[in-house]
Amino acid sequence: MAITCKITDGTNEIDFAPNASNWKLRWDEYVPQSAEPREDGTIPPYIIEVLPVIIKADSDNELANDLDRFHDLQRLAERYWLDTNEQTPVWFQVKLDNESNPRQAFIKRMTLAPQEEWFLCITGDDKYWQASITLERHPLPEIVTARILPASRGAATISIKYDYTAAGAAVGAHDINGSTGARIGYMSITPRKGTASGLGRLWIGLRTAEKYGAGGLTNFINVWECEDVDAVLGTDAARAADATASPGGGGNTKVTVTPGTATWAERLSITLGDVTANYAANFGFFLWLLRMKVSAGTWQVQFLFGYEQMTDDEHVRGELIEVTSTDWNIYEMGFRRIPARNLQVFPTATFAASREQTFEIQIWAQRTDGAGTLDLDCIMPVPIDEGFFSAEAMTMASDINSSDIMYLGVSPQDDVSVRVIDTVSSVGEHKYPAYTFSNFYLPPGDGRMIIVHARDSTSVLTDQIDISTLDGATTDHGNYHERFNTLRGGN
Amino acid sequence: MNSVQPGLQLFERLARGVTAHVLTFQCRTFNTWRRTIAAVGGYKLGDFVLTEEDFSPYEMKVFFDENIGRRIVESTGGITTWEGEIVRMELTLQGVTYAISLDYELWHNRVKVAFTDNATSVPTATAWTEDTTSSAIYGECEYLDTVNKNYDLTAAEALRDRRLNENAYPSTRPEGGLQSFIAHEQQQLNILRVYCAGYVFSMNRRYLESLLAAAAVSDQITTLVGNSEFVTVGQIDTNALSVPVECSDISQRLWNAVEDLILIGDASGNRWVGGVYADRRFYYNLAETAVTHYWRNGQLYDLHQIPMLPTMIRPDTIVRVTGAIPAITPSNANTWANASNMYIDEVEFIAPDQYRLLPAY
Repeated sequence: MAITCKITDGTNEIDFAPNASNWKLRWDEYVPQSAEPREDGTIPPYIIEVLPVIIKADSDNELANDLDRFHDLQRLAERYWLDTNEQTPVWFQVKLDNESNPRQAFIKRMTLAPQEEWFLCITGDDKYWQASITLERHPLPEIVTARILPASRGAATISIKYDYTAAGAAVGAHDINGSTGARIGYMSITPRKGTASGLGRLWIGLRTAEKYGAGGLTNFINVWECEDVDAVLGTDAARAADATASPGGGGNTKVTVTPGTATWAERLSITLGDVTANYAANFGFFLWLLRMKVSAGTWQVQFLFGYEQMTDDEHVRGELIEVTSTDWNIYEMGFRRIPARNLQVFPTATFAASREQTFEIQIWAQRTDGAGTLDLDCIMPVPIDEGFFSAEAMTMASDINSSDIMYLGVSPQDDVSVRVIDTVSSVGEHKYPAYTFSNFYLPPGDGRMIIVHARDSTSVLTDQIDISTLDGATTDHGNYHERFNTLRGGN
Repeated sequence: MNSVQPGLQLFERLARGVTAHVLTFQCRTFNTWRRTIAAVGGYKLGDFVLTEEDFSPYEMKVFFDENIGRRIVESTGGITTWEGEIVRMELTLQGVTYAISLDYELWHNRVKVAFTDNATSVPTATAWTEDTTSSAIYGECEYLDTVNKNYDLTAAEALRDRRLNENAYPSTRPEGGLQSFIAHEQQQLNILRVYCAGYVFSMNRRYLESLLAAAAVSDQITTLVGNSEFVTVGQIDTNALSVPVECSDISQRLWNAVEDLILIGDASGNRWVGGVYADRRFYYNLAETAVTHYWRNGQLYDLHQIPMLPTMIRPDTIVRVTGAIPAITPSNANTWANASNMYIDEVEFIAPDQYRLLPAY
């Protein structure tokens, strides 16, 4: 195998490989830099790296042309950094002899400094001219060829566990390689064609086996049904059947609050132990979502987080949410982690995870105006500690023939963009929705995306979404770039 | 990781009647963001910068031209943790600084002049006149110009109309004059500074001009909030203390009047708080009286000793500083009279993850 070492934008390049060009890297003096990884997932500062080089030219004109080639790339790099209409980044690409795959680091800026006389005359024999190139580059090199995201066709469920390491039509099963989170090149999510589904809001959290074990993926409970037989009903609350409530079908699927008086009271209590016996598999830091509606009037609803043995005042309060919608909708109730204890002080090896079975969510509510009842369907925890993305007001739809498409992408310089393509109406670009992006890079190893979806202001149980596929015909529609802390390696 | 990275988004002006999303700021801009929330007022002030490190002068100029009055939302995991509008921008390009502002002294599209009639020596006023085109774009901003002169109505109206004509639209003004420099010797920094304010201050763009007869403080606040353009009632708890709001002699701006009411407290001498929060909703309630958080090793923890997310920290909390000198609460005194406890009146978030808590004095 040959050495790859070059600065390139895919068309213009300076190639430091032996005998490839007039440019030579002084390998014995080159000291590569490495990024210092950040555990919170944020990108470290850009790295300054110096490439000691020699230009071996046969003539003055040839030397000038070599320098011009460098300055062209210098200009292109600067332009890409400042102008988002410039599509072609400049990379520093490296692969050593016995490494399998090249890696490349995005170049923000670069300068050239001569190390000997600037004006020299080349006469007769070959001349060597020393200089140094200073790169200001991205701290995390990435693989050159992106890996494909596998296709996932929708099911009628409002919270999905998408396995982004699974096999797809164009890719085998593949855990994420890398030292840190992989950059998503682009990813598509669509309401499933042929199902008349809608998609307006998304909440996506990342959850990995490296942090929570394989059980933390398979045994993670992403939907807590309020009507669970072990949940404790509160004031004026009763279980009821509703085919439009999760999980659908017959039997009790919701809790209805029919207040005798419109007072602030606890309406439901549900614990971790009510929904699972795999307590440690459900540890994490979550955004808690609630699917609910009213029959009429205005209601205020709030989560209280704590443990069963605590008094109400010892619970921590979430967001106070006002509800007036008579359609099912999904609401953000607050952030909370399981367990509350500091696991570094009280590890599970000494204090069993089973103690967390009494982790409790109380749902308190009061009617503040009008009449009517409150329906509570299900609680959905979305992980936020390993990467999180949300979008709103996307107003997407699907019909028998087509579906709107949402794309999420991250540029080599970590700029994020989200766009919605309108294909149902065939009018092209639809909108650029508001979104939240919190370190949404795919961590190394096996993992899942926990995805909750809804329409703009309602939630329909039968809605389905497709991931990384367009109507099932185009599969594996999305990719990612694994990232590393150094330029060395071959995975 | 015990944190979730917040985001900063720009939306269309509320006066337009639409909620269109304009853009989401990238990380490198968000990392210059800071903002405050106050127990009295709610979402208060914020600011960020665009620097030439990441933006071309052209991009800065376009941002400066297009975005005064647009809505800024900071969200954490989808939950709104700050909301306001761009009220001022300062653009410095090649050594010249331009400013544009929604300060009601510099911009007003609804004007009235109060004067003394020179024939009758009776204080009087013109009618309000408004540039409705400006109001439709930016919202209403009232200005009551009180002149200490004897005018007739014609003169007063002329003054009113001139003021409206000059100030109906936010305009760009060069600030600091023009300072000479040697271009190739002194590199001039290109920078755009953006200043934001919570919608509580938008309430001050309208006046109360009449007397509100004595009524419960909570009812008075409900009435005043109802008179504002962008703020609506969220939850206003009952405070039965009866107080009039007298504005017939001297008109008051709405938020100033509300703030005065909040600071009165109640008949039992308790502290009350109120302000504008997410979705421009106004909340008014009794101030916190029990310890709600702990401070240890430079971090804030909740009741369960879980570190707080920086953007989820709110004022109107009582923080016990662990490791402080032991203290006891004097009998019949407030919880925060204990030297180990601090009532937090205002919080500041400094992106990406720092914060400062300011106690009441």
